[in-house]
Amino acid sequence: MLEVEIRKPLDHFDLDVRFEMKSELAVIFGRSGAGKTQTLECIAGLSRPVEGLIRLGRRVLYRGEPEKRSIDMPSRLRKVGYVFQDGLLFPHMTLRQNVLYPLMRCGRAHDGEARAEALLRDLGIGHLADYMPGRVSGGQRRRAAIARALAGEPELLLMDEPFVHLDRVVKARLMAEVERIPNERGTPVLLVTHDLSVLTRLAARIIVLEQGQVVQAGPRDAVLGAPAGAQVARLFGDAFSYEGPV
Amino acid sequence: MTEPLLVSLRVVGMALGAIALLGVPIALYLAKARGVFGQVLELVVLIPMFLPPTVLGYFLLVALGSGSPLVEWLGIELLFTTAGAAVAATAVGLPLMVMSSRAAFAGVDPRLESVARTLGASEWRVFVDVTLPLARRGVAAGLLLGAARATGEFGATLMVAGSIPGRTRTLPIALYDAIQLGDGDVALSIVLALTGWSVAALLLLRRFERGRR
Repeated sequence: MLEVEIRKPLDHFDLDVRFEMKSELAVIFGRSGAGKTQTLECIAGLSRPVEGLIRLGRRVLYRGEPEKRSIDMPSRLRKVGYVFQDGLLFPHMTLRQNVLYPLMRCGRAHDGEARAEALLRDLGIGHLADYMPGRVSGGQRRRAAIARALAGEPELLLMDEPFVHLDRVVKARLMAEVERIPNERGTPVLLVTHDLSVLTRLAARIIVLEQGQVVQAGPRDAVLGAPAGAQVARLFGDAFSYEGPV
Repeated sequence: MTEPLLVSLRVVGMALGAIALLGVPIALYLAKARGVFGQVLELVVLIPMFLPPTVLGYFLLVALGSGSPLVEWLGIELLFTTAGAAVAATAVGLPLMVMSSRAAFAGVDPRLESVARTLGASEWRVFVDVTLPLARRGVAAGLLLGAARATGEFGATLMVAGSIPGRTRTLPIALYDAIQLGDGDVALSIVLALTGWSVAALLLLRRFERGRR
């Protein structure tokens, strides 16, 4: 289970985010610039809140209280995988070397080759293992980035807009892969998107973010079925709002 | 010509080691850091490139002269030694190394370094596995520029190390001496050697730059 309660001043507003998720696929939904990526970065340890609590299972990743010594676990120890928007593979390593990287870092080079191979195969890019990232398509790069993030056996997988700039077919296939992760691997996924089709297809839990605040959070059907006010309903698009006299 | 060639190789070799050891961490720091300390460090490292060589020589004489805190701390005599000539060569080569490497380090996408951290890499591993390999061409170009500049160092070297055959008389100083003594053959062979090395360095540099694009 992930428990997040963080505060951090940003340029135009204060990030003040509070939510929980179980071992499921949760989606943080909101407009661009709502503070979604900042939230993920705080959970991954790439950005530091000013106060709050981030707990993953029994482990406290961050705890900051005014006038008290804070706990801020370094990124490398958090066991939180992070898939960046455009995959962001290491451009000087083959896909195989990319996937092997976290295994080498956690001292599992001995069975690493077989594991990397299995992950690449599982994500449908086994035949591209020895290609450099610049030689494969955007969709294939993202698959490799997911394989790399999973190789380190994270206890939570964060994904920042993993489906942007992909064509419809590639996006649908990749969404199916991501959907399998919590069920088949038992790794909870927290995904950030502003794309309604991703939300309706994948989310088991929805966290709606506006101007750095959680305006609604809950199981998918509860949130989509009863948006908390016109502002949230408008975010979900025309299909979810109906204008009329009250 | 063999003797000054060997002296030059020793001086440039020592200077190159110092340029690499000092230049990489300084460039990395300047690429990431903002603040007063970074600005002061940048000024101190880059100023030898702008100073007239004799002015640099004067500063080095003061810094390396007997009784200076640096010499007392190191416990070795540097004036009129091969190591002293290497210090002068380092001072003029380091700015080029730092400028080229700093640009290369600054050009590495910081998100790639963040990815490595989330995959379990310590700061040292992030540097060795991601930052340095991605900046390698700029760092190599910086080392080459530094080496080329260190090879040609004349004015400051003459002031702090003199022209002692077999110890501090490098190729550029030997060329000056040969012309003073009217020894045209020696002068010509040194000119050809230094020109050949400069052309080779330039061609190599162009290769690095092509690779970067």
